[in-house]
Amino acid sequence: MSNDPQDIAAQKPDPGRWLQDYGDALFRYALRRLHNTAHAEDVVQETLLAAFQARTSYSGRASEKTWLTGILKHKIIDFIRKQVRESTVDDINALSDVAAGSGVDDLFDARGHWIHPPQDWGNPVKALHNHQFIENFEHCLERLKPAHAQIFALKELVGQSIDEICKELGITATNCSVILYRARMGLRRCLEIRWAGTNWEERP
Amino acid sequence: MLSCKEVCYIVSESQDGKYLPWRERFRVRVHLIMCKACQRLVRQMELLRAAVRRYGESEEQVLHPEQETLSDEASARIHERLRQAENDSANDEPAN
Repeated sequence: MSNDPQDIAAQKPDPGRWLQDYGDALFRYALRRLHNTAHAEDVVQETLLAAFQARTSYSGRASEKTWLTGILKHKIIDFIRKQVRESTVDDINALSDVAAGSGVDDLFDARGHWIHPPQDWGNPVKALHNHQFIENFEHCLERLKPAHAQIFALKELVGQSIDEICKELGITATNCSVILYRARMGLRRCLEIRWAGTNWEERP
Repeated sequence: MLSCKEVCYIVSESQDGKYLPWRERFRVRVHLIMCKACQRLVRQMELLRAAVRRYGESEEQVLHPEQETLSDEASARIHERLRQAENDSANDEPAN
């Protein structure tokens, strides 16, 4: 057998090579959605095993990496679904209770006006490329409640629609919207506190 | 008139991709004309969404490269598991 990678690729699917070539990229993709090293490693393993089982269905139309990432997406959705399903209905109700505390509603007074009005974060384009901002952003994303973070990831990082999420998780559209609201507001509040009065764009 | 709290929720709903009736959009607009705090909120929420997308899509290992690669142990474990699967399937084939 030739050792030229192109030849090997043409001859047969090689999970060992997939691991070598795409393992880190797949892991990074999973880690940014699951925020847990062990869970990310598990879904990468499941993905490569599933890809090996389904190797004859790979048409070669998409790149191998795109094909593997597509399988990984499904594995991540399955994983989050399982995790959310394992939490009880009561948990979901508590998580999606719009009146409950957890740093969202103490932002407003009884008439719904800001107690701590949002601050000016400066030029958004500059913030997006500012390491300090990115670092704080990642820190805050990891500090969301797991169920909030997971459903938020399904919506904004896996690209599922609200309808798909509700159906797969067996929760109502309103619950889903409230959970996403709480996730976004939690993320915003965390960044606001860490921002602490300095302009992102002025930081190194 | 909508309260700031209501505006926050509606802004979040619009990011969900939910269709907002024109009447509701109009009420949000009227509120935003008069409320600087909620104007900032909208800009912050847009920035957060852009940051999330960038975080999800960016290929480069920006901040902590060492934390975003498979550990040697994990690689070895997965490799071993894949080899098993290959052996299993090779053993199955003659029987088919």
